[in-house]
Amino acid sequence: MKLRLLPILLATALSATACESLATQSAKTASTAPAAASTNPADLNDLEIAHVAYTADNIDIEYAKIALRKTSSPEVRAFAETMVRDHEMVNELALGLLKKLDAQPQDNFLSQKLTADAAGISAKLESLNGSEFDMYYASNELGYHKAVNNLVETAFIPNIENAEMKELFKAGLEIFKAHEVHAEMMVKQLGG
Amino acid sequence: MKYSVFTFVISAGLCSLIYAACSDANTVAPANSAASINSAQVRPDEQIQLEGLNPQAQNIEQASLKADKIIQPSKVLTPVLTGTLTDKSAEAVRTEKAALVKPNPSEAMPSEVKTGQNTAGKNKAKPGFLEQPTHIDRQAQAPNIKLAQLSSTTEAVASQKELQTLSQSTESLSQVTEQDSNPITNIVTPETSLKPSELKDDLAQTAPEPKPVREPVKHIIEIKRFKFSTPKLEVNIGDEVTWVNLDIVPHTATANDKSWDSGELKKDERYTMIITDETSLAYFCLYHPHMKAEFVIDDKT
Repeated sequence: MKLRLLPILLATALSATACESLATQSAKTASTAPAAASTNPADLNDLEIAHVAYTADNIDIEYAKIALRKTSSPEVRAFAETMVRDHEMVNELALGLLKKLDAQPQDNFLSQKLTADAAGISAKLESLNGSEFDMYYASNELGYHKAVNNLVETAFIPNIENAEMKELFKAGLEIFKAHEVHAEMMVKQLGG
Repeated sequence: MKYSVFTFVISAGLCSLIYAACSDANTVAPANSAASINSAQVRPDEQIQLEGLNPQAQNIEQASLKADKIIQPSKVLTPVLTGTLTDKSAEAVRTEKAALVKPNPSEAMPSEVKTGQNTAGKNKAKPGFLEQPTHIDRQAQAPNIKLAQLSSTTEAVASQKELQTLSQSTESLSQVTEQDSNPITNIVTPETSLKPSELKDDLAQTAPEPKPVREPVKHIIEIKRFKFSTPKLEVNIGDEVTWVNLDIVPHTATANDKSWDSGELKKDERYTMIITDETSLAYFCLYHPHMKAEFVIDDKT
């Protein structure tokens, strides 16, 4: 996961300054400009960023649902329940905001990359059982939240133009950071 | 010669007449003497002294007082009083004669009969004495009658002691007892009696010092940005604690030992709990276990 997100994060860091104005512009023209035009996360407009966030939330919910089916660990189960609960809440709020703005989230290269990578991880989770499953799930959650939190904090929040959306992402970042701490506790409890 | 014989006869006749007259006078004298004693007005202080004597000693005293007390007929004596003492008058006169011939120091009037305890003992031995009517004025009569009633039996004294003991707890009762026991203060005053002020001091020494009472306080704990606003809150038993969730995701406030639980608190929802002496003090968010907080009981109150 870290390897998959690293190029995105690096691209975001490298192009953050240069693409600041471009990102603003792309957000404004997101409804008309082709999404494949850029692979830089910082180039994503507000609607694309919202799509990435929505996709990332659903991916984590899917991981959690797999865990709830397979784990016998109370700690893992509790964490998985929280992931479902919190990410569904964030998605609900994000969709509510989009509805309020009368806008539709736009698919983009980053959302597609995340979805593709999630398919491989879900397959891995389905193949593991017991403590191996628990440890893989816990470690993946810790890495996943670290990468996403970094992306949101450094690439998304600074580039979001809509004030309400920016505030929602700030709140989301706190949630995901809490999840990161929780995941770290879970890894330690599992002996990782 | 005839003149001499006549003179002798006349003298003898006169002597007989004189002798006969003297004999009649002797038989009446005791009655007259007793009546004179009965009619005497006795001062109160003299009567108090008389009450300390047994009947025999009193008779002696009555006899010894005859010269001073036979002053004039009393105007205050009732027929009953007079009659009662009249019955004793003959014996009194006989005793008077014996006393005049041979005074007995052991039967003399006691020099001091002030303590009620001693008086009670004497009066118990001679219970009928104090029941006799006394011929004194009312001002002197009241304390003596009270003294007689209180000291007539040892049970009366015992009851007085019990009353005195019971009266220690209340000031008013203590005062009443003190007034009632004045005539026999030397008898019944308990050595262990406590004044009300002393009782207060005694209670203050034994009773635990009360802690200051604090009104129950309402505390508000905000759940915001995945933190409890007061990680360590000082509370007291009876305080009211309310959590309000200001985050967009649900939280809980759950005791570490799960003994109490707010349940799921969605955004802006509240949960209120009263602190009791059984409240588990450490708690956390069940959904986000890194969120921890605790109560601290304020032992100053």
